[in-house]
Amino acid sequence: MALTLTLTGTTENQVIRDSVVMGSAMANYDAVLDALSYWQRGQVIPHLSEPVNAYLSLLIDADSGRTVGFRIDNFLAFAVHEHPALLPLAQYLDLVPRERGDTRLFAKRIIRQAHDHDDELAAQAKWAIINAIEATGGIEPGMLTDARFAGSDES
Amino acid sequence: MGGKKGDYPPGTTWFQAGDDSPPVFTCANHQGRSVVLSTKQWDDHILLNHPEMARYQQYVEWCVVRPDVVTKDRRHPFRECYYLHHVTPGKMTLVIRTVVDFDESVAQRFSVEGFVVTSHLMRHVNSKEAVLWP
Repeated sequence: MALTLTLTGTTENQVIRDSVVMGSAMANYDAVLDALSYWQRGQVIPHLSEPVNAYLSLLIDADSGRTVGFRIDNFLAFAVHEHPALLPLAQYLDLVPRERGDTRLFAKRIIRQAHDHDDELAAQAKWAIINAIEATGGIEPGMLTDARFAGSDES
Repeated sequence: MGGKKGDYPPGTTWFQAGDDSPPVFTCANHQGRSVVLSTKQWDDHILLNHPEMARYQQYVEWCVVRPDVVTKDRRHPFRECYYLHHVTPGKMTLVIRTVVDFDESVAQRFSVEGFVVTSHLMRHVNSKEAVLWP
């Protein structure tokens, strides 16, 4: 399951603005892991995970140190329940939330819902991506050690 | 069984869809509890999402057998996170984080106590997870 997004415009979220560039991107959802991953270059590449809050980890290219995407863990079981700003992203990917707290490894197959991908929903999904850190609760104190982010508003 | 996720008819559960693949390894963790990593989980979930782990398959087992730190997953009551420090040839210190699910259904399904859910690289142990061991 993947979507192609063209990210345009600007955002006040400096961290995500740094990590998300204009152009094609890819988001995919793993139902067994209940994890949504976003790749700004449109492909999965080797990375390190840098958690910033209970749900979101930045994905860092170990060689360049650049952010190449992010992953939201417990996406349908918890994240979209606690942070409804993520819901348009789930809807855009034709996913519906699990019951809150459904932590079974082999949970029921995700039921797809028919949905017209109108421009408004696409815009909301893009906004959820651009504001992913904010939407998942911001950066918790002590979670991010990378000096690149030390001066950001969220740190 | 097999195929892509979308191949299964409506109502099919992942449990029914099943993971009958042979184990990559079965081992005992630091407390003697049996843990398995299935081929399907390794190929379809870990490598698919974390291609950097291709060179670290052996480390995943070491991570479970002799971890440096074990923590409790922040959301999943039956999951434990195993951390193993590793220094790369370039002298970069990384930690390998391997998540093991000890849910009862897993035990019934695989005749072991724990199932490796995922494994990936981090720069440090997640300080927000409660330490279980040492």
